[in-house]
Amino acid sequence: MTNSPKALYIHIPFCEHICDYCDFTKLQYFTNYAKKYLVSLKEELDSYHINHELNTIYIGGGTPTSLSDDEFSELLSMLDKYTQGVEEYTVECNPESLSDRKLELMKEHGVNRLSIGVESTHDEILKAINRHHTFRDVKLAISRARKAGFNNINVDLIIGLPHVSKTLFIEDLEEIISLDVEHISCYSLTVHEHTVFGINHVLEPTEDFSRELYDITHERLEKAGFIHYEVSNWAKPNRMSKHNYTYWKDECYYGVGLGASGYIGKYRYTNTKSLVDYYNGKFVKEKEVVDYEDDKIYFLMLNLRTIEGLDLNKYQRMFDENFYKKHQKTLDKYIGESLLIFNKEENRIYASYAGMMVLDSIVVELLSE
Amino acid sequence: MDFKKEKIRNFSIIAHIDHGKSTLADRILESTGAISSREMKDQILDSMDLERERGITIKLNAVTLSYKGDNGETYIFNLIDTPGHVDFTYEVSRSLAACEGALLVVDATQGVEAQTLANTYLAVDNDLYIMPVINKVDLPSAQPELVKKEIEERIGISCVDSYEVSAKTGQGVHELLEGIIREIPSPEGDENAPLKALIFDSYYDSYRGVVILIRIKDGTVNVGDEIHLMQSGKDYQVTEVGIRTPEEIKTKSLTAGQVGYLCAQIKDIKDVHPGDTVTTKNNGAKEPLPGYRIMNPMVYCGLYPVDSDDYQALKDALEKLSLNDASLQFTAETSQALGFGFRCGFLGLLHMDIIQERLEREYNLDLILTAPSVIYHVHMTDGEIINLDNPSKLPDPSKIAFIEEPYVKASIMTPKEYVGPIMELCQERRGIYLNMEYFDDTRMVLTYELPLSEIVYNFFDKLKSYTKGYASFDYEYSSYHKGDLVKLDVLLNGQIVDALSSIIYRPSGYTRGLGIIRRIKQVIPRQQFEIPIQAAIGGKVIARCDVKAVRKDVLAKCYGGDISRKKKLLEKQKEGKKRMKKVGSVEIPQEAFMSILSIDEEDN
Repeated sequence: MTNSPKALYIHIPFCEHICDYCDFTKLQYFTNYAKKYLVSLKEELDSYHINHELNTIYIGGGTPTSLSDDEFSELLSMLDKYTQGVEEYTVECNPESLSDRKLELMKEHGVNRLSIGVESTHDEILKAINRHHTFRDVKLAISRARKAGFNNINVDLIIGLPHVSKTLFIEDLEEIISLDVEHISCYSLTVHEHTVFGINHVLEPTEDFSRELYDITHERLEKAGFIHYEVSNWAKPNRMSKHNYTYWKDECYYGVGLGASGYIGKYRYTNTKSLVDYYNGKFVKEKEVVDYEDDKIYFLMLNLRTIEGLDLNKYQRMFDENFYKKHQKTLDKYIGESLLIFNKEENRIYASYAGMMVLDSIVVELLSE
Repeated sequence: MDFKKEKIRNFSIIAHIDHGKSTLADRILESTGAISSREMKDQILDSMDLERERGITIKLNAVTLSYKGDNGETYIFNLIDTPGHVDFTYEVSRSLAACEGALLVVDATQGVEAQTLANTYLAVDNDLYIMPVINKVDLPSAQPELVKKEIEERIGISCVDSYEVSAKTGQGVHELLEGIIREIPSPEGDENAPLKALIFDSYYDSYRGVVILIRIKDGTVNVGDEIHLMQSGKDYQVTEVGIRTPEEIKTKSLTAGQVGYLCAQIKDIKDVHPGDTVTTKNNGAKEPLPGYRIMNPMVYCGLYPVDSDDYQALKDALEKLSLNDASLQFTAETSQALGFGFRCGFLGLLHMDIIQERLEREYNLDLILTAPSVIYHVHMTDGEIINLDNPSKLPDPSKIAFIEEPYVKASIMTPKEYVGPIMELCQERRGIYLNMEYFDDTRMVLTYELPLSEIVYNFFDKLKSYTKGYASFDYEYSSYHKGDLVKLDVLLNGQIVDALSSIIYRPSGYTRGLGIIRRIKQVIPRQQFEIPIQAAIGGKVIARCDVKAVRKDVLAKCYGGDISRKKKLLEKQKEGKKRMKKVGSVEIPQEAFMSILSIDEEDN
């Protein structure tokens, strides 16, 4: 299959503790569950018969590092046969569970990128959202990771947590910049129904406040040498996440594990979130056939999230349709307002920073035509 | 079914909404053996889905039933159903005029309500024999004795011979049927006199034309007769007569005392008016039956398709609906903001609601309704009088001498602790106090004359919230009064949106203007640019607020698992956008056009 996915996502749903805002598929860690889980995970992975080279592997969660050292080692060993030729191999970590032993194991198995959930640099805020680390833990974890030889590190930060004023947030940014990492993700808080935040009716930041904080983030991080390359992602040159680009370029990927999603050939699928079903080998829960029209929507909404934007030649090849011609009036309007930018030489349309912030209305307008 | 008049009983059921009128009708149908209970859908007389859902009767229906009494004789019962809403009061009075008796159904747990009173008085006006029926006596909270006392004291009808029933279980229904034979007078009338038949309802049938439901007061009508409608002045030849059981059974003729239907190849339902008298063309009656009135729409609004390509479909749908609904009027109109549409007249707000729902549901149309308006009498300085049904068309104020608006006489029945708030509400709404009296120990009836336009402005909702839902409300149209009225315009992005104009009471201009634009602000989604919303009177802006430009709407996270969800979200937004109307460069959702109505004084 020429169109075989070049990216593999592995989901580890366990956590030592559940964060108040988290909407991912997650479960309290128990060693019995985890052992059994790894057996099923291998079974699912094998079922895809992946025998071509992959470009990227990403182990996310939950908290992959919540596994015991033995389980963690077993997981990485299970993936060894897929690492040939992999350019980027990421593992999500919590500062408090990133032990030297785990760092050593990752290095041995070829992991070359770490993503650390920092969320806030203020200890009282971290405590309030049920994170069990301090900012000191973060600094220590990063310095140990550096010592272990990791030179590609991402940290996550949440924009608009309760009780975080503009001043506190600017302090967050300064502290994050001082960590001197290669990649920063900043996400505006989204409150989901079935989370502690949702149950307690915590409010999301208002549209205007969220935008104000994004403006500050955009400005400060660019000044610190980061490229704002996707709505919520900033990277030092050449340090953009290759794995995540798979999603944003509307390319295929395997998704393995509880609640994971994948995109293979013409199908997008989502796995079950029931551990019992998963143990019993009922992996896939929902499957969606992506037809011509669906694919156009996916292609548009995803590509416009990054500064590479929409490759009009590729669009023409894929959909046999001249995108610019079809939407000329609207595109020209947005280009005139500098929300979209047209790169004539490369025949590519991308969103400016201001355009990225209001991408939903732009995309909806284009879809309505 | 040739029956002597003595064996005929013509009656209606009158009741407040939810007091069990339709259930009782069903039970009577069942007990008379007209239909077996297996064939019965609940509430068979309410045949429209919408009626079933709302639990109210919109369209009248009549059935002929045969009932064998305990005395061994077979009787003919004509049960004539009545609509249960104030919009249709005239139709109620005409169907009552077709009867000799009425069952007054009162819920044993609720007691007498304003609507019960209003309809009972209509029945009394028509000289009907009234049989009190206490329903829902099977419920633990039933208090039949108390309710009887209430009926006697408040309505003045003796309950010595009242009937306690449960329409739900059938308890007491047999005794009631025997009572109908015993108590309700058989019809009078002379079968040899010139024909006089009362039209109380009609509907359109694509094969036979308009089917008229009639009660023969005098004389006989035969197939082949040349008939004359005395009020509309039209002549036809009878092609079919019969009775409904509810299935139609053709007969050769209908004679004095009978209730049935008549077809005469009548093409247009607008020629058939409820209350009109059918007579023969030759040797016809000299005088028509009394009580006839022309029904005029009281409330008007603009109806526009969201998608302008649906204009023809909307026109076809309105034409179809008006085939069966003589009181629905519509004429084409254009709005700068909304394009091509129709100005439609309705009997009242409920009627408007029903038509809108039917258009959207049965004809699958996406509609924009402008806020309903009453008919203003605009007296020009040159003496001309304009009947204005569209506020945006109000002429230049300098050429207007004065404006008159319609008033209604409203009776509000309320537990006495709410009298204060209700009086305040009526005062606020420019009500003229007429009367207040004790209904019983705990309840009072307030009578006010109120501008109809004030009732159109969320009066019901207000009344409900002021009285925790305990007050009931009824009104009838009274007369036109001069008012200090001006046109309030709404400007979006600097442009007047004609469909948002309304005529308001000048002294409350600022409050209402601010209320309207604040409400509009809440329903207009943020767009790519800031949108000023202004309220203006006579070209002068009196209030303003802004819808800020969208600043951030993008979803923060979009990784593997988020992608499908995100697409669904965007598609939903796209659907929502489709239902909005673009006026200039501003997208306006349907709700905005109705927001003129739902202003809340507390907002200000």
